[in-house]
Amino acid sequence: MEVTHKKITSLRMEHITKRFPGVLASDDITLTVEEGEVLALVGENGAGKTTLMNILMGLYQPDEGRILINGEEVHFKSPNDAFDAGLGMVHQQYMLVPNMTVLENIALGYKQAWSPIKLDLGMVRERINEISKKYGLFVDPDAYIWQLSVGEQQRVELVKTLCLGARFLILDEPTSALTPQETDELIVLLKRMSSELSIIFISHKLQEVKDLSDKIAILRHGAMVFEGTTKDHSPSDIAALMTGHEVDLPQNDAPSCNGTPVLDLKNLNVKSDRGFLALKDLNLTIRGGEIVGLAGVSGNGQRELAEAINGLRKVESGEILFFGENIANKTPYHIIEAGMGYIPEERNTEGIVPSFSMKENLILKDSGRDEFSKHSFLKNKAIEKNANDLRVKFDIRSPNIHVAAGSLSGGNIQKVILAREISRKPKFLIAVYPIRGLDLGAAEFIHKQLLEKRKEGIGILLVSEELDEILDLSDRVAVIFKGQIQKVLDRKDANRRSLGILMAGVKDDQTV
Amino acid sequence: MTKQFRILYKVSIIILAILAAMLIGSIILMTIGADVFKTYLVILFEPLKTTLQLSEVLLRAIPLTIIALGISVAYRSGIINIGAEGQMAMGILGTTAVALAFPELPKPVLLPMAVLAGAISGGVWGFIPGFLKAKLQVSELLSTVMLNYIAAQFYTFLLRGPMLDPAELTMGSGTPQSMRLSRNLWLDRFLPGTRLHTGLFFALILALLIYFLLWKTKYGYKMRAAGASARAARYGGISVTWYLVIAMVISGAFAGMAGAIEIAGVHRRAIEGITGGYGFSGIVVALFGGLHPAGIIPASFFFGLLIVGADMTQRMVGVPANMVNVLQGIIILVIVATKMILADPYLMEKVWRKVQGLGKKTKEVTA
Ligand SMILES: Nc1ncnc2c1ncn2[C@@H]1O[C@H](COP(=O)(O)OP(=O)(O)OP(=O)(O)O)[C@@H](O)[C@H]1O
Ligand SMILES: [Mg+2]
Repeated sequence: MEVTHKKITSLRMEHITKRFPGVLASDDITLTVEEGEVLALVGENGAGKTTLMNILMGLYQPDEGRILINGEEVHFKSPNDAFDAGLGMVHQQYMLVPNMTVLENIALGYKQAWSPIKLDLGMVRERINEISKKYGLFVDPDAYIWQLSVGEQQRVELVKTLCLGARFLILDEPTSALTPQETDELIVLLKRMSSELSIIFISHKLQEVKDLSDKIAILRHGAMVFEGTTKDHSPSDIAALMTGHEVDLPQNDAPSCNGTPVLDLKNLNVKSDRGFLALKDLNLTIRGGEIVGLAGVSGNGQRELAEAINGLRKVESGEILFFGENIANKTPYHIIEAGMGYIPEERNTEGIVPSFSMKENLILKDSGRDEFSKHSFLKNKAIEKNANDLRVKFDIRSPNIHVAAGSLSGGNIQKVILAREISRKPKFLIAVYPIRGLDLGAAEFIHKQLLEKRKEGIGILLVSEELDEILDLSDRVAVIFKGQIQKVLDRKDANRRSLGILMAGVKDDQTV
Repeated sequence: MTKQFRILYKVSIIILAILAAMLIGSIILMTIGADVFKTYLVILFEPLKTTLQLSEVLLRAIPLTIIALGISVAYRSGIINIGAEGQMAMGILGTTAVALAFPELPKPVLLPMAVLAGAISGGVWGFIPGFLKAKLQVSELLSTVMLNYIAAQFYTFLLRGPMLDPAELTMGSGTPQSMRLSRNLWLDRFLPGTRLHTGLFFALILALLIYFLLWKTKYGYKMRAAGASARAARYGGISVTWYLVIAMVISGAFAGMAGAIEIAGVHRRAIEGITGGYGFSGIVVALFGGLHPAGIIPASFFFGLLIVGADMTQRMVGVPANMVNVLQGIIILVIVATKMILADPYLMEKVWRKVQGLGKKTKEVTA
């Protein structure tokens, strides 16, 4: 059976309203996308972008309003109905089964291959090949998901969506977890695809909005506040429209400090999940009061490094000297108590307990501190005050402090983690992709906070793939490649070009 | 949305669940040719008619509450304890051993000591699967079920051998049971003419204790975090494996105490069949009670009612008492469905708006 969908010549959402307990997530939104158009949906964290798209996909039912495809009203009771109409969505969090292969994952949703007694994997494989060729999207059908990088998983999601026959693509922050190269590739790909598909994509990165979209829609507090043609507006225009003020990302221009070394990694060897050495005799020293940016293409050992320092991954050999104490293979608790702060990569599974309320999540590491408990009894007043204070200070958009942290928008979950880690007064901070998924205003605020911490004399290891972020904030930049520090540069010697070369694995002395 | 509404909403969902379970149950009753209406009438109301019968319901609710409290601690900490049956048996053995060894000790010493022995024996039986899971990732489903078998055999062995009542040996029928335990172990029966004993208050105190432990202390906070998201808890510096073991020890100790209270209050000697499925019903009670003491107490009462009521239906309408097990099974299924409904905030929001709308309309009408 061949997948046949009628073309989607126009899609229209009319007067969509959706309330969640305590929030108006969509406020009378009307939006139209014509065939072959690319619409960028932008707005602050918690503005209601994901919710609106989930409504379109039939994951949520709107309280009011209707959806029209080719002028006819449709009712999607579940994402399956939306698939059948030719809509496909790649979510903010990927929805792949890690211990299954790419082929099996795609087969899961590919109903044509299911007969009552047999799953026709050969047919799925053919379909994958067909799609891969057509769009130049290559995936290895027999690789297991857990073996793939985030960028590769993203590609699998795209292939999956296309295999299911999507004629209309919805992408929720498709690039926020990609490396710059992967991002560029994706943009090129989407541009190519936009000749036959319509696309709605959500992004906080205005450059790609500019590069890719024809039209732009801005949401704020659930309402559509602006709609226009992309080419008439510059990125800074859009930023201003979005946040209501000029955004100016702060720069670290203070003179380098000469603090004493606080974190000293010596000949560190650490294995990856797949069993090979992810860090090989890695050496790096960070002083108090400096920000060291760790630049590198993801998958070169950043994750293992951060986990090893925090006691979450076994150190095979080598030392981690933290204020003189070797904390290699100590428990996470011991390391946290020694003053380590950590903003982990995966906010939903590592950073918060999704079913816990926001106030509970804000004391995840501190429930035993005198501040929040006395004789082992929790001090509810103090916990609530803490949450209310942080909610205001970090501008966490939530109806109140009692809602489950997992129900917050992606960016606001990130703010909860940042608020906790920054406010608990660590002596050192490891920040892994701290502004991933944050809107511009929030990113600006977080960067200011990090610089503030630096001024207080705290050492910071900033892991990022965004060279702009690294160049803006770092005193020194260390480039990691295949588990080793390729080179450490002073800020004044670092630029996009020199870092790019080092990140690709070329030592710069070889280039001349 | 007001708090009252939220509670009312949840209670009505639970009542709906019970009704749904009864509806399915009635189909089964019909197929065995029973008088559906009369059966339910007997199960649900007959036991409430006399003080004696009511006291029997409460009597069943005591061990159920204690076991379910323990199971909720384990469940909340991310480990499923199906081994309460075995842990309870071990608890009975521990208590019996102490009572047999020191029959002369005064009550204020012997009673706590024996209950503690029960708690420790059950706790050890809970520790084993907890430890195996923490250190070797052995599935607790397997290990707890296996330990149930071991405990059951050990129980029979002791009652037929070392703990066997000497009187049975010389002149009795050889019924496997211990001798009558020292009076100093007995819990008082405070309602004349019934078997209802002070273990009731003990169970209520334990419920309060668990409430405070889980929701008011840092330990409970950490256990719940470990149970809700092990990975995030680990990243937050919480030793997930440690709390898992602790939770299983508490869970086992509670089952053990339930056993201790049961013999000190009801049987006053160890006999076969005391555990009688309490360990399994305790799981249903815990789930039905929403893994919260405030829910577990009424849920235990309800299940006590079912057990006593089922006995009566057998006598009064000829429906086998095993029907209770069938009902339990149905209730488990309904709980699973209900949980999904309760966990859906949108539905609640919708109902709330409907209710508000109704309120407005009636106001308009009256105005
Ligand atoms: N399942 C849910 N239950 C309750 N509230 C929710 C739920 N999903 C979203 N919300 C709330 O709806 C609002 C909009 O959230 P949404 O996820 O759509 O934001 P977003 O624009 O995608 O933000 P971000 O850029 O951070 O991803 C937020 O206030 C959020 O807390
Ligand atoms: Mg979102």
